[in-house]
Amino acid sequence: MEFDNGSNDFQIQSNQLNDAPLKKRIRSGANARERDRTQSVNSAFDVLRAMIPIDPPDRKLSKIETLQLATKYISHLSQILNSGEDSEQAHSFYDVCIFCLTNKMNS
Amino acid sequence: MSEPSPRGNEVDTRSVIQENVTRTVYVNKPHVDTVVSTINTSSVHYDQSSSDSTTICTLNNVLPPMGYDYQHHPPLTSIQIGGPGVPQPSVYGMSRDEHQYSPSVAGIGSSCYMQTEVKSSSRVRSYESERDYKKSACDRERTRMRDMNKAFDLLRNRLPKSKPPGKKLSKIESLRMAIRYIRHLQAILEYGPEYETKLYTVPSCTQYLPPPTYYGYQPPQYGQCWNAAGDYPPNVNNQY
Repeated sequence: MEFDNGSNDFQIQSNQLNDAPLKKRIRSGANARERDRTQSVNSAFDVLRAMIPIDPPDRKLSKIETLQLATKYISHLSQILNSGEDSEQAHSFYDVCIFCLTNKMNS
Repeated sequence: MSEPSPRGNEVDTRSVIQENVTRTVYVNKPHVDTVVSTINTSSVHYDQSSSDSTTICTLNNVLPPMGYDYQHHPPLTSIQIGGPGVPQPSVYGMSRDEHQYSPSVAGIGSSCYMQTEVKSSSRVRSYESERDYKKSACDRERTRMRDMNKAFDLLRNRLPKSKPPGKKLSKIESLRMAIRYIRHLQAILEYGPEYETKLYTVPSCTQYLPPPTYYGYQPPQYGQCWNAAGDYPPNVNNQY
């Protein structure tokens, strides 16, 4: 039994010896790719963040905030385009549009 | 946070610890070890209504009564446990992520006392509660990701349809498309709806471009200098 375990161990060990550097390479390659992918997503978030008019302008929005505000900003722009550029007052009946506010504050 | 109330049948419900932590505490009764309920709540409650010898003490956002000697200030940093033979204080972490704590109760004259796994260091950690804490941390992370995915979906709905009907934009694609779309809308607002035609037909911009591909009838090309060898035409005024 002991002898068998010993030989098994040796077998497993030699396999692992062969696989270990390979697995490490695979993992580190995958890690680098994932890092690059995450970086590209984050930089896209940064660009989107920069386009959303916000007050104060240096407030860094979180990811979920940029998504929600980008959605609202697109609605805001579409609504302005659809109803004519000067009719921002009749924009929305129920809430104050923060982009209209920001616009008024900055102009 | 108030003082501990005298032990008895009353339920003491002061909130002590940071939220969203689930704890399981082992209750040691004389000769009996039972696992107390695992509670997935945002509060921890300790109830020691223990006139009954079969009482199970549940840990529930309540400071343990009597028999405790503790100091607390927000945020709670430590609890000291009095009573003979009870191990030293558990440490309440300051941040949400530190969850090493577990009050030990030495009930005075009570038929039950609670004890969690104790390490020799001053940080006391119960394996059960750490696992439960991690589980609730997973739950929180899962909820966070679900909200973010919902936000992505809402954004996708506002963007023009740019994929075949069964397909969705990926996250990075939807971000980039949103950037492009917002720029487009802003440009329309600024320059009027013909901004694209104005921008892209200025000769200086387009003289180095190959002509657009026409399928079908091709209008006569006046002054067309583009040839198959790949030279660039000097002007493309005839493109339309």
